[in-house]
Amino acid sequence: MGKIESGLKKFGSLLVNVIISAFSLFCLFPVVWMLYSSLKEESEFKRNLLSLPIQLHFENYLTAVKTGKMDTAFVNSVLVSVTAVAVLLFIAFLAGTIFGRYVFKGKTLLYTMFLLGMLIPVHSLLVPVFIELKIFSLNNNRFVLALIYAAFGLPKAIFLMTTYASTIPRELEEAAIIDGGNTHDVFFQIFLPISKPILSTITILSFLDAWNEFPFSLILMGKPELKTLPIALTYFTGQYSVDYTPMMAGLAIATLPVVIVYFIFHKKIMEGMVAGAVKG
Amino acid sequence: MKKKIAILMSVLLACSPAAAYAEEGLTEAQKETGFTEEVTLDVAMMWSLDSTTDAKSYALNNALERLKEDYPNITINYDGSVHDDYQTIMMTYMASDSLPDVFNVKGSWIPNMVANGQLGTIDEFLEADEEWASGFANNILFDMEYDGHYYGAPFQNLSCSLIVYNKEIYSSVGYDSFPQTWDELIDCFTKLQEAGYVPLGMGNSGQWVANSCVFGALGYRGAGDSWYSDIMNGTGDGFLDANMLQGVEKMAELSQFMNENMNSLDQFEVMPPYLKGEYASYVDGSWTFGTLIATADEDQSMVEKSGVAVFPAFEGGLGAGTTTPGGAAWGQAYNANLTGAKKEAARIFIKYISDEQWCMDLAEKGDFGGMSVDYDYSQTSPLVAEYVALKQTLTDSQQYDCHFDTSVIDAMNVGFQELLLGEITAEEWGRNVQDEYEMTLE
Repeated sequence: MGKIESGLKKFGSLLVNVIISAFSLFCLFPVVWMLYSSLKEESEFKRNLLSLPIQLHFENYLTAVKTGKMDTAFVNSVLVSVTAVAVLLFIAFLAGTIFGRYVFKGKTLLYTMFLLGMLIPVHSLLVPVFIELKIFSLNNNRFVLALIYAAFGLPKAIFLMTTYASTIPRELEEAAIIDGGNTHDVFFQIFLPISKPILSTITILSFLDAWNEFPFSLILMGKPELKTLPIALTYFTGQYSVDYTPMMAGLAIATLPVVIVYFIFHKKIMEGMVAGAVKG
Repeated sequence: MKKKIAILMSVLLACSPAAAYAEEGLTEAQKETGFTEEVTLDVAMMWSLDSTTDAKSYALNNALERLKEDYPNITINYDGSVHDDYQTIMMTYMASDSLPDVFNVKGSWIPNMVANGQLGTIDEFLEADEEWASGFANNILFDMEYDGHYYGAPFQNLSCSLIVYNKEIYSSVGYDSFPQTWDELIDCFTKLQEAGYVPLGMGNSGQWVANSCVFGALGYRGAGDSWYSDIMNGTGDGFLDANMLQGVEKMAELSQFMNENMNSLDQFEVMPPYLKGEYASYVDGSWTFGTLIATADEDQSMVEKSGVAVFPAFEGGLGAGTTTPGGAAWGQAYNANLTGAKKEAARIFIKYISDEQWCMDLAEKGDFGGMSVDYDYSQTSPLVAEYVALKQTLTDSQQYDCHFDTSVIDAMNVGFQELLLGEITAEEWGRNVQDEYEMTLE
């Protein structure tokens, strides 16, 4: 009986593993396909979408850099995304901690206003933001684009930070004050180190949003030298033609930094994901 | 008096070397037009300058080089994006009234832009340069005309509905030439299907292919000429017109012969199965040749076996079968706010991106500019030469999706996807689009 039971258990776990592995493969395949397709010749790719490359054509990467101006776009994307994330982290950390830890007049109203930002579809702001920036001659400016990304990311970031900050034990704050620490010390020596997991989550989420953002970058960056990666990737599509293999190479170039950022932060992200789940 | 003459002479003497020197620095073109003012033009168009596959990108690069040689005083600030994104950008620019100096205009945008005072007419450009103007045939200028004026210089000549077919496969089922009547077409497609081929491939994931390349032809074969003007003027039965709906019914009839995944493939993705001989033919527009030839790459045998044809007419329809929806669809246009030197620079630039040399550059890549040029297309491919011969026997019918209201076009496109999947009937399609159409009339 025991044998049958343990056999059934083994079979069950095997089945679960097979299903999960199949799902993983299903998710991984597009990335693997993109990577090996980026090394195929254009006509080979068009003739057979799924076949492996016969010869490795690394020159697709050179074409990608040249055609899509991926080098300039890469630098632009890094500058815009890093600035956006830095500004957003700073504001979200301070605002979120204050909302989570302190009671003051108008707190609910302010917090609700921030949260309402999550309900506004950003695309509806495309034209008004463009007009506003044009009046002040602020379009075609990477820093301004970064500020816009930071503004769009703030509601979500403040929501996450507030939820997290409210879980930090009050004793820690009190101990710091008893030891002679001021508000600055409490924020940057107590709250900041404790908040690392949630700040990592916010970093990766907002970095991904800024890195992949398309419509605002398309409209606000009118000069070729200011275009970001998602815009550069469209250059492989002509009016009636598509250059697929250099586009795959371009996609690989655009994807790798995101994967790297994810691997750097992934442990913290998982901590951050569950951190706010159980209070106390 | 003598003193005055002496002064005048000395002034003339002093000026003449300077004048000669200034004249020396000028290019032939500058001397001819006398246009030497330093001007910078902001230009936004739907082609990237670096594309390796786009014929327009190639012609544009050449045009910019020619302009730089002839008019070094004109600086072009070029912002290129791709087709769909370009439309998003332009919608924002239009909404915020901040259009660039020179740009591509779509036929259906013209009425709104003119009403908002954003688009300058090119009438005076055409009058000023008759040699250039005479290169455009009337049917090509048609898409750029509004209220008796022209608002864009055509830069392409499209035939939006063509069937590229494999002559060998067709002949294997008893058709040595493309079927001439609707009954023959259905008979041919049935035989092809029985022989294991997909009779007619279509890539409609972008939604517009069914409209441009199939309905454009079949709608016209059903409705004839007057329906288009009825729609534009808000008269007639609109999308419930019985003659036009015959064309939609024929579309539904054709769907059984098309690839099942037509709504998830784009128009490029139908080429590989065609080249492998799985599809006996596919429907697309005149832009297809360049990409088909590039996709076939070293093995051009399938392209050489290919022929090109249009949908035949059907009984009861009012339109002829010797037509294809076609024309310019888009044009080179300029901002209505331009005046003086900037306007003159825009005129010159627009000429460079639509003139005979522009068309020759496109021809070299298997594409067609707004003017007919003397070019031996057989050196590109016999298929392209066959198309050029066919084109001469055809007349252009209206490209509905270049002129109808955008929301109506969207309703048509979504409806066609459902129709081709058999989810709705031609009449239901008509009623859905009519609802949208009536809203735009209101």
